Amino acid sequence: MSSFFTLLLLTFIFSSNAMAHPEYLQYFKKESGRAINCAMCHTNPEGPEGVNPGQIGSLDPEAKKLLALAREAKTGDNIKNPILNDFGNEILNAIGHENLVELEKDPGAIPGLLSKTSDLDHDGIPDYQELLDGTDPLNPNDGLPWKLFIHNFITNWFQIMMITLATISGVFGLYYTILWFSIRTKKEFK
Amino acid sequence: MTSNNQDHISDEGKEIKVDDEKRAFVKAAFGIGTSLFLLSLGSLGKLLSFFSKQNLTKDQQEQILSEKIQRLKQTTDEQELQLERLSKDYILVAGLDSLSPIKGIYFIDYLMRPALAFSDDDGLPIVISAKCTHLGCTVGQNVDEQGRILCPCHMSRFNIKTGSPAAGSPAKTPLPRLGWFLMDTHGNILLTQNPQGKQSGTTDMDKLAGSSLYILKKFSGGEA
Amino acid sequence: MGDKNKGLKRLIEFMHDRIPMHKFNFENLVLKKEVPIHRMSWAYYLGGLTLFFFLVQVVTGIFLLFYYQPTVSDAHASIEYITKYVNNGFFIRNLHTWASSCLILCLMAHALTAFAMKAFAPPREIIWVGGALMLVIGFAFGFTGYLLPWHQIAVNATKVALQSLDESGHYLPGFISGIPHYIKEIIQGGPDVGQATLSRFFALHVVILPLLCFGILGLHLLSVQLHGMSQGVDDLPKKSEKFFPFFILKDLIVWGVAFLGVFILAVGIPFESFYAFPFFQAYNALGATPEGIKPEWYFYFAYYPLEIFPFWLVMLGMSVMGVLLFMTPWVFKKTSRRALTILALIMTAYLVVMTFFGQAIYEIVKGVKG
Repeated sequence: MSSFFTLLLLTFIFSSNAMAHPEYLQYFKKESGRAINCAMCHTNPEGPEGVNPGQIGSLDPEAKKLLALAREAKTGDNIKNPILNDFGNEILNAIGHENLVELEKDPGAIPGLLSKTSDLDHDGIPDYQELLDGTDPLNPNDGLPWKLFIHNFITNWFQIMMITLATISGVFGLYYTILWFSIRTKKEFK
Repeated sequence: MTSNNQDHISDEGKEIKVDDEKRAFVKAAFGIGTSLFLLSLGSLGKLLSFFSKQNLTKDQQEQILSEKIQRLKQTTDEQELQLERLSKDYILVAGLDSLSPIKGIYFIDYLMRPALAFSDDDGLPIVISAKCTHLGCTVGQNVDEQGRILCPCHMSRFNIKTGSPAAGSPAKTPLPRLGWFLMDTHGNILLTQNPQGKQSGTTDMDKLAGSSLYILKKFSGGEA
Repeated sequence: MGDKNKGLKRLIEFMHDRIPMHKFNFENLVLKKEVPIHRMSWAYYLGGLTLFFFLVQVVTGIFLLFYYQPTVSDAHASIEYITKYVNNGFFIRNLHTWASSCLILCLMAHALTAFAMKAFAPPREIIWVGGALMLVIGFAFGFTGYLLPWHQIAVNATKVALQSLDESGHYLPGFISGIPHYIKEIIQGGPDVGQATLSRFFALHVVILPLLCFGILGLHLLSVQLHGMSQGVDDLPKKSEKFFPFFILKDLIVWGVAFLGVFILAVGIPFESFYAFPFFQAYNALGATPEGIKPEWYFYFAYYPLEIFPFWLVMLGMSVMGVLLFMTPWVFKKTSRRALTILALIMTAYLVVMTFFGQAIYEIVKGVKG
């Protein structure tokens, strides 16, 4: 099976000079239990192959140069591969292109090699964790709901406190309005 | 608290009741007043700011505008394709000589689906839909050593000659084959094949050399 | 001649009892209105709660209307603009989404409890029928509103739902087998879900359904005020409280707490975070369909049975339930509240099981079928 994948990889290399990674997709989908697609790391949700915006076939000469540079990326570099989004580039620069290709056999090792603190969308969930959870590391409104709730609750504590105070005082006021009416009505009918 | 007092009809009782009533009124007014005050303080400004001008940075403005231009271009491209498919009875795919047995050429068929063209062992074209019959992903263009193309989304593999999905693929129905013809530079139709695979014309590769591959509207259910 | 007059007289009497405009005076509407107190009294708040969430939807919907663009090329981008750049835009949008689920939940709870309390008993039949219409309109609001963001799940879920409608034609005889397809094309506005569909769904969601709803709601609320709250339990309740001001004020307390709840949800949890992110990417007609497309949760009670049971059985079941829904005041006229409560509990159990466990049941059945 792995020899088949290697052959497939070689077919990709020789025939298209492109690198699609369905293995990563399958692994992280299974791990997280959530349906994910290429947009986790790539600029185009359908992946890098094709002629649509964000795909290899649509790159201008300058972008093609960046792509070639990215194929030489080493750990610690700061390269912006035009077919990858910010998270994809975070992975590329953390691991290096050669290692990334190697890790197709062991995609589970990728999160461990990423920064533990990087949170590109500032939603309170680190990027490596979002990869494991199957949520979009570049969308602050995507993440496991209870994790987002804790973060948003803390961030917006003042608004929540104000509205809770407004509700409590409103309920207090309405309760005493009822009481006032009840005293008045009893007074009127006595 | 108050219920005990309500049964007294003495003057003292009536005073206590009035006090209770006043107290209840004050608390009620305080509660509702505070609530409305807090709501206006907190919410009104926010609700009004929803309607005010968005303070966008230069980068943000550039990004929004370039995304809009990209969308408009995509819409134009798509509608140009639609117009072509509406007005023309046949559409050029590629020259016969440019077809490859291991790497398909993408094009858009009459139903606006992605499709692929390959060459067979005998040099004749294989024209097949590239919209995966599982969930509609675009199938890859590279042919493996078993003559199959791979859909990257859920790993269905399809035999390019029959369109059939390999055993174990999530896709269960074959990729539909498209009808096509080969036309020479003088406008003569040399060979036609319908979607069922029936051919009419010459299969002599010497005569077909230099001809071009076209897809036909009449074979796509899109007849005028 | 006498018969005709008799028929007309019966009709006038019927309407006179059902919409008692002679009770439209201050004494009846305000001074004398009482709300029975019994073990089901908590359910009297559900109608008002539904109205509250509907008002939240109207207000937040109007806000969103200032920025939303109903074209296939710009709909998704306009929603992203609201989310990313408009001040508090994300909050208003998230509130609209959460409140829509709360609205439909309250709508179903209100319908089930009104059924259990036999609130449809004469002379309240028209209140029930109006309510049944609004239940259908509520689901129509959900269905039409869901398409508007024009993302993957919006368009594909709509296509799947309309496909089911189309398929029902195969089970109909002769010339009427073409009717579902015809209806589908009217709903879609064309051979496929596209700009025509988006335009008409927008018109429905923003103008037609709200106008219909306001009209029916007006009649529904007027009728409730004219008739007063129904007794709710079989034994005539001994205690009651005044509608004005006590019940109304308690109602407002419930609204206040409900608003706090939905506010915290809207601030804290983006509704979309419960789903896979590919669902919310812009719809691409030439691209892939994400895996796991399904309708909104409040349609699961109909969606999963379609996946599990034979199509014709589900269609038959839904048709029967639809007829029963509107004919309830006459079909269940003589049924005791005890029996109605049991029926309501069975329906609630079905709804809860199918909504929460529908996916699991489907997977078990699919596994068994191989």
